[in-house]
Amino acid sequence: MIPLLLLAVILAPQVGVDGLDREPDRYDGRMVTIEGEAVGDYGRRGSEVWIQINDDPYRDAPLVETGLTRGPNRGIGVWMDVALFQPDRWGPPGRYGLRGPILRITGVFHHNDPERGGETYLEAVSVELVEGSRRTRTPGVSVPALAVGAGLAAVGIGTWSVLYRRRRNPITL
Amino acid sequence: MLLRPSVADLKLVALDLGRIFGVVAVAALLPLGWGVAVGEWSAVSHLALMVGICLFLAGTAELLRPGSRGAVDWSHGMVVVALAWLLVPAVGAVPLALSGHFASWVDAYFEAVSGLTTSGLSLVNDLDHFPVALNVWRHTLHFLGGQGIVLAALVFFAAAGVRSLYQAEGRDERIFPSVGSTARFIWLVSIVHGIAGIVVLTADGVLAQGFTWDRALFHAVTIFMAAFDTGGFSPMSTSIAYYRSPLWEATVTVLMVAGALSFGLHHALWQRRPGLWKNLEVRTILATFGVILAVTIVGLGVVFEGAWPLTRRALFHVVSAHTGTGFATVSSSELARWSGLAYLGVIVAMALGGMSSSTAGGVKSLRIGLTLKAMANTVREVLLPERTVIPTGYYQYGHRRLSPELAQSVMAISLLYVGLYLLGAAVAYALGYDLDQALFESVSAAANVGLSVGITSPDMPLLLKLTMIGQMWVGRLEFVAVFALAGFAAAWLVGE
Repeated sequence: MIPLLLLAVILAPQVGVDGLDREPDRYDGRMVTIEGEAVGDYGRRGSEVWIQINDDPYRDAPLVETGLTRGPNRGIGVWMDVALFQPDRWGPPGRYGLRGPILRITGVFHHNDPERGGETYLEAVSVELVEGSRRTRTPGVSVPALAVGAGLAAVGIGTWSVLYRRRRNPITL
Repeated sequence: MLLRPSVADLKLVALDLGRIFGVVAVAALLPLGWGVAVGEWSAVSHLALMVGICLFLAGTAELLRPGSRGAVDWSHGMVVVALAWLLVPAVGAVPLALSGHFASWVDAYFEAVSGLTTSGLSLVNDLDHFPVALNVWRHTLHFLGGQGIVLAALVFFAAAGVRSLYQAEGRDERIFPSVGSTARFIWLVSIVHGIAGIVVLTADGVLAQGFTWDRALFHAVTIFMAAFDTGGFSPMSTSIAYYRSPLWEATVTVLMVAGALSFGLHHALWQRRPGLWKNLEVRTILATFGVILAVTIVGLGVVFEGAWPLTRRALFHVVSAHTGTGFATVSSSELARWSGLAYLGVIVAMALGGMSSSTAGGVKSLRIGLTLKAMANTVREVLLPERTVIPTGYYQYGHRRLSPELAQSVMAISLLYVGLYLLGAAVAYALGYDLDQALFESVSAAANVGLSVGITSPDMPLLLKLTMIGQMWVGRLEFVAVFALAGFAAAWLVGE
């Protein structure tokens, strides 16, 4: 049984999330391999874990690093047994300031699975860490924006408070 | 002969706009504080710049205050509201555009208009790496728009003539004798739902979904604002599908329904007033919801196996569409594959919308109910003997008369919505999109829903982006304020 499963994992075709999204019926119930960045949160629920894997132009370098706008994200939910879940090795999932771990996941693709309330997801059989998560370069304080903002706020609040005081205590000659 | 607006008229408009910007500055303190807490200094700087612009506009507008406030007429209120819903997104887009996550200023403005009008269509790139503070700002725009930004101003600046401002924003219910008291009640309802919703969603996030408490709170606050204000933005690219939790979906469904109920109905429910089920609007929305849900379930029977998946998906998406929220638990390409009855059901649900004086968009159930009643009366007039007296009353928190003038105005607005839906669809179709997808996206924009079959994306044509911005704006203001602004502009240009 185990050699057969190993063989299935090895022979599983690598597909993009885009391909699964475009032709879900073609891959429904089949073993496939995807590779992408784990983003958002690790949803550990007892003995099972849900994670989102993004296979999009930002998986290697988020927009904040490249400055290139290359469309919306593209991801799929992955369900796995907690035995496959290794957050200490992988590092935190991707979000602002973090590029999440790149995982190569082989598993069975389910489209509108009646056993799980109609979910579309990948049921992981094997998870391989390609690259751990890392901090990304993020811009720091923008001094010009802060200075202009503070200046405008000072003018606005100053004007308002002077006018407010004049109305409360009108000058009479 | 058109009378050119006087300088005093313009000063009054500017003064009220300034006050609205003051409210925006106060609201922006939430994302600003959040950004400081998580150390997102770039986003904090850009939000601070926006707050500075708002405070500058609010403060300097006070210079224009006339000696006495003067007479504030109906058109003045309409013009203020119409301009506010165009100008606030222009300033609200500043931190979004500076984030680098939008391909252009138009895209950032589109996002801000979509946020404020509680539409929920998005042009953001790489949302899953978007700063938390700016994500909170996107959702705060939903909250400001859903509550009615002018309504927020009313609470802070109870001033003469505010009733026209209140009604211009698409709210015509007077729950209490004064508009200020009504505004405070609406905020009370929202805060109570907010506390309950955020507590439940945070608890579900931590206990059932395994999120850390700070991340669960972030998800709960943003999703609450998008659900109760029937917005539809989500902090993650996969919308509500990200959570994969029936409890989360159930809580969001309750919040969406609460947001789509009129605040008058909230008040009646709080008071346990009898006879609510006799209300024309309640009956209409229950009937349309029931029929559309049944049709969608039949249509989705070929997509989902089993009663639970079928009911879960159909119920969530019909509620999401009918309330004008726009959350999805399937991808946009999956939604685009829904064909026949399910596709039709979602489009019709979006087009009809929620209740009047709620945070929802669309034609609104009261107008649908009154239109059907007026049409039924007309048919009766034709079929029955000439001297037959046909009852023209309806029940809406008491017996009311459906006058010919009311019937005409209700039908006119309903037809204008149909026209707005068709206009956007025609533009998208002319730009090469499939007609069925063009119609879906157009209805979603004009009814301020936010469901998408994939057309709305950063690379869609500029003309379509501008068309959808216009649809979201006009649809949110229910036409009248926009016409008033056009009249004001015409009077300014050619008046004497």
